[in-house]
Parts: sequence; structure tokens; C-alpha cells
Amino acid sequence: MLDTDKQDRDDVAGTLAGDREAFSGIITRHGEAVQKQMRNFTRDPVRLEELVQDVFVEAYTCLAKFRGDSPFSHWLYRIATFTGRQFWKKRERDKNSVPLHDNTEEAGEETAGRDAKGAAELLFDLLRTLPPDDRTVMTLMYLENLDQAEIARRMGWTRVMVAVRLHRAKQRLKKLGGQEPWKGRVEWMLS
Amino acid sequence: MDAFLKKIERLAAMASTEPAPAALDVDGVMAKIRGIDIAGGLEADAEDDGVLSLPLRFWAGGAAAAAVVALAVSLAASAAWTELTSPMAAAESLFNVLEAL
Repeated sequence: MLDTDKQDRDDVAGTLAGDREAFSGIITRHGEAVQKQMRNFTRDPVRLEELVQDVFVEAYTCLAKFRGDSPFSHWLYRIATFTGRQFWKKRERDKNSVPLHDNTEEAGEETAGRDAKGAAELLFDLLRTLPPDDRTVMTLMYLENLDQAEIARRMGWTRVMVAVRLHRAKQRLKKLGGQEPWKGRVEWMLS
Repeated sequence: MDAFLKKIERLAAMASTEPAPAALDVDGVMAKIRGIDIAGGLEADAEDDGVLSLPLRFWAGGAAAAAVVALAVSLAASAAWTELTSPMAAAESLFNVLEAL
């Protein structure tokens, strides 16, 4: 059986040679992982679907730029991270023009229970108090379990830059930890 | 490590067991991909009739974000494109291409 990266490379070559349908193999193999990754960037199902589509469209349009130095999945997940970060940055830019009550795009469900979904939503809400770059670095560390070196590679940042952003984000979170509603919500979730 | 950060780590461990999201609509994504190829066809048609020739010249020269946005908006407004994707998504997708360059 062919390994996944070999299949990916074959499909990339096929797509670039004009067999557009070869790209569906890439979507089938990586769709679930990309979807899971993008759920760290939005909890809204409609937005999630759009973001996942954006990732694959971006990959398709930039496919000729894949140099093959590392596994195709690394390249694809990097695009996914950049797409999510770009989404957050756009949200940040649009913040002032969005009515205050229009918070449905990113809000978690307040009825979430003390379970995995509830924990994910609470963590999502907590991290979205951070600026996009700090939020990205914390999301990669806490939700994608990447270490600093992997984050640096994923983002194209230096290790020092990653360390600085992590430090800054952690300081902000530590401050939030002593404040309501976060203190109470986290205690409740972990109790 | 700070106690609150340790709690966040516990939350992340809990969150990691969240069930996978609903199955991805592969056909939906491929429809968007096909839409890009149709947009490519539109570029050629547009050059023929000169409607988009100015922004396309900028695009070919690798310049001017404004010209590319103009192109994206023009393409997004075309009927053939909007059959497959929303105008905003089309414009954003092309803008993403520009940013990736």
C-alpha cells in the first residue's frame, strides 16, 4: 500500500498535469484533519465549512509552489494555519463595524456541559481575548500540541519570536485567570 | 508554572477528546475548485473583449493589489462564477492568492 505522502505527491503531480479530479484524493485524505484544525479558528459550523473550503482552494491555486522539501501535509497544514490566522485578523479589522449583538460567528454555546465540547468552547472563548498572533501561537501550542520549534516552522517565525509571543500570551492569560468570568468558568469546567 | 496555565493545559487535554466534526463535503470543495478553473476561462474571454484587460495586465506584471481586487470583483460579478460560489468568497479567494505570492 502506498504511503500517504507518496499518494499526495502523485495527486499533486496529477493535478498539475491537468487532472483536476486528482485533487479530490488530497481532500479526501486530509479533509478531516483540516476540518479539525480549522475548528480551532471558528466554532460556527457555516464559517467552519467556508474556512475548510478556503484552505483547499488556497492549496489548489498555489499547488505549483509546493517544492516537496517536506511532506505535503506539512505544507497543507501551514496553509490552514495561515488561513485561520488571516480569518482572525480580518475579524479583528472588522470588529468596529460589527454590531455588538452580532457575536454568533465565534461564540461558543453557553449551554455546553462539562465535557470535551464544553472544554473546547471555553478554551476557544478564553483564547479569543488575545490578539490574533498571540491567539495563533497559543492555539498551536495548546490545541495542536506543537512545540516551539514546530510553531516557528509552521509560522515562518524565528524561535525567539515564538518564545516572545508565547510569553506575552501567557502573561495575559495569567492575568485573566484571576478575573471573572474566566476564573469561575474554568473552575466549574474542571470541578 | 502558573496555576491558571496548568488549568488551561487540563482544559486542552479535555478538549482534545472532542468528537470529530461532521464529515467534510468533498464535492462542495471540488465545486469551488472547478469554479477557479472556470474563472481562468473567464480571464481568457475577458482579454478577448478587452473588458478586464487593464487589471489583467497588472496581474501579469505581478503588481498592484487594487488591480487584482478589481479583477476579483469583476469575476465575482460574472454569472458563470456566481453559479458556483458566492461573490465574496470568490473575491476573498483571489485576494488570498495575491497575499500568498
